[in-house]
Amino acid sequence: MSEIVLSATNLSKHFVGKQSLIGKLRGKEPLSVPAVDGVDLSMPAGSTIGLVGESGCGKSTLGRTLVGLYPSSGGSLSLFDRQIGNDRSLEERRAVQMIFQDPYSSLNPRMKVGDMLEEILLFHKLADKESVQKRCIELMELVGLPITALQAYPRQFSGGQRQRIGIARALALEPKILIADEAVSALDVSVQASIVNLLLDLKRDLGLTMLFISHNIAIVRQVSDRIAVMYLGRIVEEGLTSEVFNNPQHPYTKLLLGSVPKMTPGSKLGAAPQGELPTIQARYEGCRFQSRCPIATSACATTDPALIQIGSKDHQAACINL
Amino acid sequence: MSTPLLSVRDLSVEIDTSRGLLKAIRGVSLDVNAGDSLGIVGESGSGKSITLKAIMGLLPKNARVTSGEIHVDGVDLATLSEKARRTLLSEKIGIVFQDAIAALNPVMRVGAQIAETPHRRLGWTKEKSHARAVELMELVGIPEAEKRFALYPHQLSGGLRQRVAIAIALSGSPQLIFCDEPTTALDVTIQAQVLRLLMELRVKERTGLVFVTHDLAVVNEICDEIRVMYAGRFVESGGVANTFQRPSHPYTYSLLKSAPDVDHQSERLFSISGETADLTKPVMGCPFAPRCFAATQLCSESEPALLPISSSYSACHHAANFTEKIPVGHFAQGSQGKARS
Amino acid sequence: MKTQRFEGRGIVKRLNFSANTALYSGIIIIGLLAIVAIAAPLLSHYDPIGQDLENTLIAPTRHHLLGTDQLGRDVLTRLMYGARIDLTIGILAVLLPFIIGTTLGLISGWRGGLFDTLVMRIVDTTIAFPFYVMAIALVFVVGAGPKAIIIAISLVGWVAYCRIVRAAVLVAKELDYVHAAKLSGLPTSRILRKHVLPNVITQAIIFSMSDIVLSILAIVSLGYLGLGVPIPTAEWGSMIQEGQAYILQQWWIPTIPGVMVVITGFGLSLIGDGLVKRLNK
Repeated sequence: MSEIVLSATNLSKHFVGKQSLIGKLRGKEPLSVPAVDGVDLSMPAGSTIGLVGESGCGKSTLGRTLVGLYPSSGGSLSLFDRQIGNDRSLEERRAVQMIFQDPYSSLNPRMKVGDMLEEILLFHKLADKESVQKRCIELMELVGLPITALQAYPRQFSGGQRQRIGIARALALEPKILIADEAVSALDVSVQASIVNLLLDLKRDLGLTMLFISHNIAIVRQVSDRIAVMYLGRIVEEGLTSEVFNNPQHPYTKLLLGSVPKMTPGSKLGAAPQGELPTIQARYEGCRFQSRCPIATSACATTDPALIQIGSKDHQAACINL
Repeated sequence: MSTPLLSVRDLSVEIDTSRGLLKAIRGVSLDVNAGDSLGIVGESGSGKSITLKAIMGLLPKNARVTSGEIHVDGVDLATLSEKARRTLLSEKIGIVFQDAIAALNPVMRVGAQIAETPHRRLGWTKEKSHARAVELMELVGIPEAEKRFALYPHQLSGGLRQRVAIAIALSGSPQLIFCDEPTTALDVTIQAQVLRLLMELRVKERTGLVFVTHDLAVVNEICDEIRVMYAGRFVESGGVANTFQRPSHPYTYSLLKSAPDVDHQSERLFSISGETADLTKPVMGCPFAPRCFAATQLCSESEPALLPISSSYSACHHAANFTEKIPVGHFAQGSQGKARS
Repeated sequence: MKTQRFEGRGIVKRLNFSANTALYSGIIIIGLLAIVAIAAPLLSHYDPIGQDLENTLIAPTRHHLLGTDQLGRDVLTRLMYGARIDLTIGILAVLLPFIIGTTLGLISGWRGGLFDTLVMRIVDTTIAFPFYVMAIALVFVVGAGPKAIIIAISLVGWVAYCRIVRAAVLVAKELDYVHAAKLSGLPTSRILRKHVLPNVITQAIIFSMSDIVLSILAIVSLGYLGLGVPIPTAEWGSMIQEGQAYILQQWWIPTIPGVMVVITGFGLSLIGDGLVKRLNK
């Protein structure tokens, strides 16, 4: 059993709506939207966990809370078995880094690539004035970019190249955990594969643990050892990739996987899922998937299911009707 | 043999760009009959979207059709006036774009937008058009259609907006629907609903479907025929099942290999190395040759024509035997070292 | 607020110069004006305020290229010395608002909350204030002259910069590269200084070009009203005011200073336009 590098227990992140002055004076509670509502997740060292779900499920928010961009609203987070709070130390910050989705807004347009890397390296004393140039060159080689890239501005690069720069920036801090938040979703299909392969190689060579957040289920299957399925702020199913894909348990997982178009010949669309994607509410009565669930019973309206073990395998799902 | 709904012969399109004259489409022909479902696939820059726009007369100002014939329901579009052409096209063909938000008028109620074609272009009365719009909204599966008639696009979810776009496309009772990546921006379960809707329309109303996408899995599931486009031309043409099992062009083969399959796990993703051909320069030989694992001297000298091979068509000098020429380990690639992408 | 928006930018836009053409042409125009202003004593041997009552209202000749005014002073010389006053005060009157407004906008946009609300309410109040009423009041308190003008313009001028920079900061702080800077543990001061500021200041710089034009117009207007730089100092505004009585015969006396204002505005607009195109590429 490998060590757990990052784990979340009952983690929540709420977003509080704006409140007018009048509202405050009247004592009204501002609207609180629980984007992440009680998530348990453990990341074993060296694993790649794929986090999937549709719009509004909270996967991006979960990623950003794990990386420390958002302070959590509840629950706890442990890094290397030590609890960490909302104010992280520099060391804690270095350990978890993120790769962002949009290659066009994730790099400072007014900073040369080399300057951006140098700033981080020098600030964290990961290199000194003499060695920083060498380290920058190493980082460029690591992500497959020419050394001349260091003198260029982000606007001179393509989407895929910018993502490589973003990866170099994340790696500059020598993190142990990488969170890729839809890192290839904004790229051309032909470029996605090369960036995914780069991430896999780096992960293997540098011994990283990765959380791969994506709405592209086909890619997630290729990339992950474990998979977690999110719906409306909760993880509804989690386990080894092969287990979950071959033997999905939660009705939403079945719905999701059934909706993905397949490459196998003769595959025709399965039964179409019903209903629209619901929006996040402040509170739910019973299971949040009821409205679209084909096997919902009356008990589902009163019970909020927790993740339960499926059989003897490394596989959990949150449904009372299994 | 009845007249095809749409018959395109040798269509060519040029675009003025800052880098020069771009030959975006170089001689494309296709036929679509009632109830057909045709998928056009290719990478970005292959010209697949422009093909649809050229047929519909929706090319941007800096682009123009330089050759080719388009017959809609037997009528040659070139013989019609601008107005007659637009009326015919809006009657016979509906088009659904990728970005419903951009395709819908943000300051007009959705019901009114659906009712627009019957009311203005086909001359129906306001009441009749309104009724037709509600009917269409129900057909595309928008719940509480009468109530939602009066909503604005921003008040609807992405999936509903795309359904509205489909309803608008259907409003002229077309016999053919063009889809330009209509589900790429949608969540997977919503995509499944929209695709199912299109399939149902095809079965119930015998509507023909031309579906442009880069997603081979979608084509696998909803199309019968496939056209693979590269550098402004079709390089392979045939039935979906046949082409997926036995592709007759190395580009198709490579595309199939690079599509991540949700049913299998592989260690690595494959992507075709190199960049698409620069169509502002004249094409020397086969445009795919620089990236092709089976390319020979002949390939860089002469551009192969689209010729029949077994039960499909392929534009490749080595269509019959390129599968024997795959270098060992070609499709098990690394992250491509000093990549340019 | 000050005077109306300067409509001259419309002409510049319609001409649609390329970025560099606009930028360099503008720099040349303003540069020439600046050189003339600085080198005024060398270029003209006449005294800008020295009267010569025997040679009043002379039409342009070889000795007086633009003639003389009602007190016998050489008009061209007064124009050159006037450029000194107007350009200098114009720039100074923009510097202070730029610095104050940008700083407040930066902090306000970044921090949000009560501080932001407070600053924005002060901004709203200031905008509501009639500029010329306040200018007149200030002149009574401080006395007419450059000091009063600069204080008056600064008191209202900072507001525009504050809003522009604040809006840009609100956008920038949601961008991923700022998130990435936070994630790399950099302290807030450094993030603001090196990541946010360079990206928001461009808007402020572009605005400052129009602002200098507006300031010069304000100075000239105050001068015309008799509230600006006191006569007999040569200043375009007072030159227009003093010369307006002679507009029918010696039309050049009040008109040409006005033309100078237009040329200056045009040059600054060109620079602004060129900067917009350059910085937005």
